[in-house]
Amino acid sequence: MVSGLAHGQNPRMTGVRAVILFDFAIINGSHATKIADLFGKVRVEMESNRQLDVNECIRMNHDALLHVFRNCADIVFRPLRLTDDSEILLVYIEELTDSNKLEQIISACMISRDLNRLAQYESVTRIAEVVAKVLKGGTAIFLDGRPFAYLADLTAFKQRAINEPSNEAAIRGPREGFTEDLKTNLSLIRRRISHPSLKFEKHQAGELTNTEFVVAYIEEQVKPELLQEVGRRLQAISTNQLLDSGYLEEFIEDKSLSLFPQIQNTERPDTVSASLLAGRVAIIVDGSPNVLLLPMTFWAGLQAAEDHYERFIYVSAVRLLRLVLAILSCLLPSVYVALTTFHPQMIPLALMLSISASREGIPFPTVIETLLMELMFEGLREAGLRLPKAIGSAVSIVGALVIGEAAVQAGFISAPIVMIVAGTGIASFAFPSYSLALPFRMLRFPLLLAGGFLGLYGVAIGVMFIIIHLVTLKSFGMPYLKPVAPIGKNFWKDAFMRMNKRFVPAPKKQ
Amino acid sequence: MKRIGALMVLLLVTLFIAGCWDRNEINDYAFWIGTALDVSENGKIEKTAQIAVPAGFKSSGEGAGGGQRGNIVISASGSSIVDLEQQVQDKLPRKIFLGHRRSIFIGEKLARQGIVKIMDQFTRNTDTRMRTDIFVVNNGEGRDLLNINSPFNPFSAIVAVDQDRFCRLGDTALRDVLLDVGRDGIRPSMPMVEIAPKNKQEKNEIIEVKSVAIFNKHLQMVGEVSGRESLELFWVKGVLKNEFLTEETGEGTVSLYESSLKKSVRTEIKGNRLKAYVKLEGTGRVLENNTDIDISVSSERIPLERKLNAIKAKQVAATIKKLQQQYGQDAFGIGEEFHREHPYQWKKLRNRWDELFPKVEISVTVKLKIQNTGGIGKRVPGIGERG
Repeated sequence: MVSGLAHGQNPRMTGVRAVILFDFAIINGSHATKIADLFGKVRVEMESNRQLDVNECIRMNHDALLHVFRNCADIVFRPLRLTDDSEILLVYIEELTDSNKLEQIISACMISRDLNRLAQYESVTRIAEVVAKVLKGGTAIFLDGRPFAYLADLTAFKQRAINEPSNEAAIRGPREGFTEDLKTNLSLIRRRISHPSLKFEKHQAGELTNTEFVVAYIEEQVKPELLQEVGRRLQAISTNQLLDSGYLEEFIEDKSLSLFPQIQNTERPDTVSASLLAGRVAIIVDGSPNVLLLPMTFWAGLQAAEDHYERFIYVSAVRLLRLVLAILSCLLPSVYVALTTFHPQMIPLALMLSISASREGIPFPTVIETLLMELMFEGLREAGLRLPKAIGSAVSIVGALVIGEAAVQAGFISAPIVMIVAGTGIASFAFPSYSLALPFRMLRFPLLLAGGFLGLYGVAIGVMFIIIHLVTLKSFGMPYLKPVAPIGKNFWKDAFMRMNKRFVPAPKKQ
Repeated sequence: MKRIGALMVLLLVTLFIAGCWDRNEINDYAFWIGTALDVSENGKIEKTAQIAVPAGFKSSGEGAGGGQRGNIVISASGSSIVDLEQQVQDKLPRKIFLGHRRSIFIGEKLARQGIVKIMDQFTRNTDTRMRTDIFVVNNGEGRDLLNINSPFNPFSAIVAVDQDRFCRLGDTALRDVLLDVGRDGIRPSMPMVEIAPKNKQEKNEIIEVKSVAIFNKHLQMVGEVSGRESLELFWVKGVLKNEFLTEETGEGTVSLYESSLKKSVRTEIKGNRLKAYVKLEGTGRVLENNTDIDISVSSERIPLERKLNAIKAKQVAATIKKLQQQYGQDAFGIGEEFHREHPYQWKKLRNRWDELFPKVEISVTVKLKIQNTGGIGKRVPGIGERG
């Protein structure tokens, strides 16, 4: 369930859920009953507390909050008694609060008794809202005799510094990357687009995590239908947790069974800004440095951020190279296997003879050989990905030796296969987008089998299926291969190649 | 979803059950690189195959001619080509693969007997590559050629193809021969290879391509032209792209490298008289000038060009005459020119072309242009200087 923070939680809805939980517990009976029963009870009590309004009596508030926050060691209750016997209660989370500011407020209240100073803060009348804000790092200030609480935003917590995004490094262009903090991330975007039509719509999802996320767009550029569609899909989310933007992506993507990513993700604020300016929508989730960009096209995955900073002729050449490498990373092993085992006519004689010379005495059929080596390579890559750097290099050396030298020396694997696998590996690293490289990595294997069983015929069928899928795929109403299929007016401007910006008008609302 | 799953299973099952796949590892193929066809003593056809042995040339990189040949040569004799192929197969542990055959050598004896019987199989068999080069072995057996150990390539069949490409006799492929066979106004011709005599230091034999075999309508070899004449034959035929010319001008020799050679033939039918005007063109550069002519001066170059043209035209006319008189075969394709320009009259001529061709009056004009005089105008400075 998602709702704007301003409206608070819908108490009736959650109440109904609690009742359902209760029913479930009764029906289930036996062992599980007890736990569920307890859980249900807690739920119900909590909900009843949340519906409460802030009482004038500070003690009542204290009790109510204590009840909500029982066994929460990180929540600090700090009752203060002023000289005139009036009481103040501060509720906050120690680690999320800037203690200096807090002390300032306390001293202001106690020494100068300037309680009016608190009026600058938001006043909240419902306990539920107080709870929500405190959990987000706010400081609740209850004053005796006032039926509301002040909520001071004194949030300060330790966070990662803004680093260069290691997965999307660029030679030229800004080196900032998003961090895990939503506010920092928003500021990074706002600094690039200083215009009031850049909108940040705040939402919240996850009944337990209460994660905030922001839908960003530029009002002048974005198509209203796209915004509506995004809103509709976000409304439909029902989850109690939202730990990363990846969670959100799975809930709102068009085809969850497709291998191809339909929502782009990036760690670069400049990429996000450029996309926003092109009329796309960004979703920034608190706690995740990966921002979602939608709709995504296939070509976006083949474009790096610096494509727009480097000179356009070079960029166009590099983009073509990337496309060729993308195709190679998918097709090289299967075409090799198909050609050598089904269509030796198609290989030039000299090449063929040297292939067959190096294959002399190899025990496996070419398909099996290639499959083995590809699996080995993928294993090596997966193993190297998560190992500490010191061990990682050792693994890659061992892997290179095992795969490159020893296997050929021992006569298990023929030398051309090593070249093919290495070439495929290099080609698959040429993708600027990691998530677009994944489907190509995976599709290599079914294509390899098709090539091994049916030759080029099988490869052609496989490729046809992939293309049919890509052509029918849509991301938020945008054809995945646009502007190539269907061909669009931007075909020459920013897809295969990039034109000089002088000749490309700034994107307008379509 | 269920239905799709069932369909997938069905598809997979058909794949495995049907067993109709032609997967074959590269190492289960015996690559047939060259064929030689000869007549055996008892009058049967003898077929010899040069087959690649991949394990052999793995090590051949290290020591040139170091024992390992990289190929084996297998012979079989019988009456039909397909039967022979099967006989060769019986001697091999791997499946023979014709898709990479580079050349076919026909022994001169067989060529003179006629190769109609052989050609039929080549046109029918879909495994045959139409770009396979075809040669006649001059004064020899095709088998001997396959047995040659060339220092350049483990396969003498490939050496012949490569050599054919650079010896300027065009490269005549099976396709060209078959095309010529199918037409009435031209008779096929094929380059001839011969084994050059060994000299003392040479361990290996060398192949030479220097003449052209001329066939008649029934695909029997009737004769050959060699050297300069063979180049002229191909020039008039329109196959030759460039050549080196050395002409004696009377004051010394001049050598030219002529490129972008062109021919154009006009034909004329006047009653019973058939006339053809052959015009040969080329532009070239001077490579060697042993005369005292200063080519850089137009007033001296133009007369030289005229002289060269006249000499060349005489030579070409003589070659054409030789073919008309001696062999009576239209290897030039003059008949095709008649066909093109007089399609209706051609219908009456086509069946009698072998009788008519020797009587055709052919006049030759040559137009060679000197475009580049080389580094210097006169000969080496100081020689041939005129005061």
